[in-house]
Amino acid sequence: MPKWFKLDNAAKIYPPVLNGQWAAMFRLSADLTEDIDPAILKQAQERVLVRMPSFATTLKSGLFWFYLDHIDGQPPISEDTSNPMQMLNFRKNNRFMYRLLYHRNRIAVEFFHSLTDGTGGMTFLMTLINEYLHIRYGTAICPDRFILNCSDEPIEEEYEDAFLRYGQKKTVGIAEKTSYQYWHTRTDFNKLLAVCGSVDTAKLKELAKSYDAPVGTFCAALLLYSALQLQKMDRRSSVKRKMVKISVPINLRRFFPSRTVRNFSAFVNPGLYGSLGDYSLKEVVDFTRNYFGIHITEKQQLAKFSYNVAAERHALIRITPLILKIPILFIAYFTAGDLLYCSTISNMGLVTLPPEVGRYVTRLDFMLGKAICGRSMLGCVSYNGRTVFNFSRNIRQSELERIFFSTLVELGAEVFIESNGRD
Amino acid sequence: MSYCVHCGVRLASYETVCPLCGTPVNDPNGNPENDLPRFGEYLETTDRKVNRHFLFSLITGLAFIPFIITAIVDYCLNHSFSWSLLVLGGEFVLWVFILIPFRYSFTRPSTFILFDTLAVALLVLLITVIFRFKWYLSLGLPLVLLSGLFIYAVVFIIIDDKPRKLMAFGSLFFALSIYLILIDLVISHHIHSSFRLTWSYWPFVPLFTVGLMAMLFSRSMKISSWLKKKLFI
Repeated sequence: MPKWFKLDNAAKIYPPVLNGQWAAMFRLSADLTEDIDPAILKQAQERVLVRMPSFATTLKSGLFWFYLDHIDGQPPISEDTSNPMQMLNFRKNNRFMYRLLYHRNRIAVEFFHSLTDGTGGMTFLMTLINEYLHIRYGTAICPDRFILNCSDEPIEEEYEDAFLRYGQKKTVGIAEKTSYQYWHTRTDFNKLLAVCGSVDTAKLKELAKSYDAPVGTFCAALLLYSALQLQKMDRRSSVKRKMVKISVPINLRRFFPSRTVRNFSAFVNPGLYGSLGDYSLKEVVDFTRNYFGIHITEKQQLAKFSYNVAAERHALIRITPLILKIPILFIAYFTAGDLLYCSTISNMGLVTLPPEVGRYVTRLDFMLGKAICGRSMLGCVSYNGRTVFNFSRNIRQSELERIFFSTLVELGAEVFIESNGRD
Repeated sequence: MSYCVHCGVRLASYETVCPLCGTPVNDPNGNPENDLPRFGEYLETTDRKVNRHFLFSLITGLAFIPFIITAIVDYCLNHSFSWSLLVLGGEFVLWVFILIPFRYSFTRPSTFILFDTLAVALLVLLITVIFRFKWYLSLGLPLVLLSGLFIYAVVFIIIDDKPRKLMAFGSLFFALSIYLILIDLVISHHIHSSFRLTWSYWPFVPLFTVGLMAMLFSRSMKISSWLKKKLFI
């Protein structure tokens, strides 16, 4: 088991933009049938960290690159807060890059994105829950798509950089036009406003089928449609001509088999020009379906992420000291990253658990952290017959969420809303 | 079970306004305790600190850009690096003056003066090397070191030591008088190759006298309070 790890290709962008006010984070939580026992949770975490060593690391800087250094111990387990995903204080968190929280019957884990992506994070959470249930109730360990057996030794493939493994020489450029950014006012620094809307998964499937699209495509199209409506309502004439784009993370493991629990995802940014006319939802769904059909293919994604891998492997970039790389990556993040979309939808898809575990888990939630620019971000996951959409925002306006959920209501779905308040 | 009349969504029983549109919820038969709050009650606060390490790295990295540009231009015009090195030297001095105190903190702020003095000495050395001057050791370096020492003494007296006002006043005058004498000696040695005082004893006498008297008076509470009464503004 290695004592340190290089950052994977996708993770390299996050430390340079990490600062005292923002960190790329996301949150996964699970509701159980009974209140959480923190002492047992601590025992379970200890075992999981041995099994998944890439999570028992802290970020350090070398002369040329950041890296993850192994650390002993575990992060403190604390009560969940009303404003999730605040800035991760590495010092208070025993230098770990994820935070473990609990509240009544819910376990939540907030990850710094350099550590893992949604799939890796879900693997960590489910393995933790399985271990917790095993210690508390004697439940059997059920290795599954998202569950690892803590008695096994870590496998090298689980902490490999799959980008480097699959990266090839043929690449395509990643330059894109920037997106329309909707008008907003920021909330207070310590606030992340969250709105959870849950919908019956069967009803959502039925709606998606009526538009002849998969559920994931339909949800992305609905978000794009909502953003287009926002642009239509925007009074600023200067932004009317800009393309409205959203960002959709793609799990690359579906094309390139890998058991890695570190980052292995890419992004596509479908967009439409609202100035061309009023788009109906059907038109947006058709466009999104076709866009995904063209861009979410093995060859397209391979060429795109190979571009980043080639940049990482370039001799000039490798020998550039980190002190010079930081401002370059910081600028690149904004010009080739954050401004390319006005919102994000990250869909974990349908999560199924073995019955021995599933009977204790009633609900799953997936939430994205606040963006550098003010906007709403959407994380969604389907489990146990319910699809939960978690909007998180660091702005006061909730128009995007309102249009999204109102449209679902107009289509005949009942949406149940929970939140941590308004500003 | 409450619904928002504007959005049509079903709301958790504890919601008093719709989270999507802000429409107030009015449900006379509703029980706010039917649904458990989705999030905890504790509001976590984070100190909004500037990440000094990140800014330090960012500005340091960006600072290389002017030097690289000037070096390229210099080399294209002169086929050597001449004046562009002055840009590097100037940037280095600014980096030491501004970024080092920003990034690091020492118990005594006067410690930064030592770094600043060293940076200026190196810049002056660079200037003398580029232009082939011969006055570095006889004039340049002693003036820089003396000035650095004087400023160190001033900062030490005012910030680090924090004495009473009269003592601080007296110490500053005393230090200034000594500094002027030493400057005069260095300049005269450079010009005449001998140590002799030319102009400095004019300011030295009053500064030294006033400084020494202020330092002595500050030891006496009676005299210092009398002076305070007579001289306050």
